[in-house]
Amino acid sequence: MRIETLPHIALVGTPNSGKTTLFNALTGMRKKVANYPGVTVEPTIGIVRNAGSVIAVVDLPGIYSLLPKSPDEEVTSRALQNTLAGIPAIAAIVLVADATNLERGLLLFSQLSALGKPMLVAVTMIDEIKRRGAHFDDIELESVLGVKVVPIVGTKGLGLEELRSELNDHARWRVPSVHFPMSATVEERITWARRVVHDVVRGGIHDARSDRIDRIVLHPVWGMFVFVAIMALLFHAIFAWSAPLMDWIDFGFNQIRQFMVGGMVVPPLWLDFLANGIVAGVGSVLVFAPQIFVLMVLVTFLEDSGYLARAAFMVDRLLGVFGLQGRSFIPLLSSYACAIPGILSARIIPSPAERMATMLVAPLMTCSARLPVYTLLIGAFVPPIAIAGIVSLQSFVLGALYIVAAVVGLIVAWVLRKTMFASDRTVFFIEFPPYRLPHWRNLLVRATIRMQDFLQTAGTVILAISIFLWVLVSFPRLELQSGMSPEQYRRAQLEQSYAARVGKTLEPLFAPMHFDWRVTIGIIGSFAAREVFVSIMGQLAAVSGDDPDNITLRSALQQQLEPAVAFAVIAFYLFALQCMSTVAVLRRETGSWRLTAFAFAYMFVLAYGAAAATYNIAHWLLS
Amino acid sequence: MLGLELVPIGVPVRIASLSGSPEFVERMEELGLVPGTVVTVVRRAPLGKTLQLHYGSTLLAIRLPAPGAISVEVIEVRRIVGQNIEELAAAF
Repeated sequence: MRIETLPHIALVGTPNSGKTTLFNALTGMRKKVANYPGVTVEPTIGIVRNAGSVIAVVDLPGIYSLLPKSPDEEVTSRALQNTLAGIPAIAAIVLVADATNLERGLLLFSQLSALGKPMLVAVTMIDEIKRRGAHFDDIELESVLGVKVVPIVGTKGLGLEELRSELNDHARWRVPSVHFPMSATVEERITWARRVVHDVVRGGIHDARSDRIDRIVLHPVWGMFVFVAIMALLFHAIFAWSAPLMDWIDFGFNQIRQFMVGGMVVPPLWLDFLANGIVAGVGSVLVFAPQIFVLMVLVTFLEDSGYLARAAFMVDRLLGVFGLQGRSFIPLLSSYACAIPGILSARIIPSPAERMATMLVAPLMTCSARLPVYTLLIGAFVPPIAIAGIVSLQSFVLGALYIVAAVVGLIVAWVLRKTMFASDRTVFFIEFPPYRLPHWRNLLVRATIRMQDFLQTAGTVILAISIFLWVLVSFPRLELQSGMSPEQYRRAQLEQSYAARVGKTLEPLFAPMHFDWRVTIGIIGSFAAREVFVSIMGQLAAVSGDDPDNITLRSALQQQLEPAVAFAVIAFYLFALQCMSTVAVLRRETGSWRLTAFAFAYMFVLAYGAAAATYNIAHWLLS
Repeated sequence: MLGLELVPIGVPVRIASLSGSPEFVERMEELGLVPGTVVTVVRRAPLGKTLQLHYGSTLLAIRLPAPGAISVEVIEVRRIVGQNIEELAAAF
């Protein structure tokens, strides 16, 4: 069955209207994502099956009006006007309106009604206004709007089945009569919307609970404590919760390799390829999946709970000092897992100057692909001593790297906003949704989609590099001579491999930081994906295993590398844009190869400079 | 008339006019900040400038592009004492 041939129904609503929650409840896990969903910034297509019929439902980014003011809004606006590539013509529209904020939904209705498409209005958060002691009159709203109104109570319960069967019947939905001429002002529309809200929502709908929570969460002092505590917890959880699973994946893949080639001095070529090319390559990608999954669950949790908008408010002024704004916080935070969803979610920033600056510094945030490199080198070269009796020096160094990356990112943003992206005054605004307990289905669906996308995109790239690298390391083939130990053989094989020849040729490139041919190959080979560095080091150190915690690899590195070189490598990865997927996404989102090349170049210069400086300082200090 | 940024916390005021780029004015109106709307500044974020507004059932965080971008007029205090702000907003 081809999705394109199905009738497509669009879900449209204001940001925070519960649209994505409704979409997930309707479509479950069956969806096709046009691309990475960070905060919903790309249209997602899901399939709804009901009583023998099949409908494609399109989840579009939230909008306030059909007059777009940021790229995410433009996506929706264009999809509705049937001019967005990849989205078939929209047959009918479901307007998702939030009962606690009905005025905004009605404003949108007044504009959508002019599109001349059949419509249905789904009113969400009925339970929320009931909790606040108000009453919603769906019959009245239906008679005012002239289209079917379906109240949705809770995230899974009442109304969902009705909506599902209505989707089947979409051919019978009414095209609303146009309430306003296109020329009507927003003020006129709002005045109408307020009158309608006054008639259909009875009783006070002030959210006293959110007010009470805000008094603490947004308090100038306690609020900062809450913010720091939540961020600390988030980062702790990303590592702590994913660690067991990552260890398990790593262990599993190493076991498979051991099983395949363990004990063999020189495994047959095909087996060596399977074990050290394919299995090692797949393993090095899969090992990141848990971290990305955990991060996406947590970011979605913060977003759905209503806290993320508050966090943006808390940090807006601080980011404003550096020429960014509260909305930059979400892209930058996501970039700590992976720059790709981070760059995509920058679409929620209306001002082009702030958006560009945010996207160009997002790759400087410490993404999870840098972690294996840091873990390996810190583990090998930073002594595990305790400082001040509490924090181990290793964790301290790791924490410092995260902070340095953020600080440098902000400084670069400041410079960009003073030079390339200087613009007049910009505005920051974000609505605070009421505090809510997120629904687990939303968390799982978002995280799963994101993880699948990572595995597909990053997976193919990393696997391809791993295979290419295996070829470089394994050829030309050396004959095993009698009396050679396996260790000696591997070394000899490596010394005359193509990898060594290429590395030795390129060694002068990194002369200022004294990178030898192994490190040079590691850096060049991880050009398209940082984490490949670890598996390259594994292959080049002539030991089995690319586990960053692998003791053999660690001790091999300790013998082969000067500590100053190791620190210089860390400094290099702190800044370098070694990620092909990020480059591709940057190109698409900035719409410019020139800016993408600039991003790559400035990060390379920072990385190169930092590595050279680190080597020389460390060399001088340690000798 | 005075700029919204100068309004003390907790004092309801009425929006008089908006000024700035057409996009800014349009977006503010779309968010419901049309002239006549009664707004209260609930709090300021750390380091000032960013405001949290409350009007109708909306909580909105905003950093204005320029002082006076949203100008407001003071509602006579005696008239609102004892009145629910929601009712007042609905009346407009």
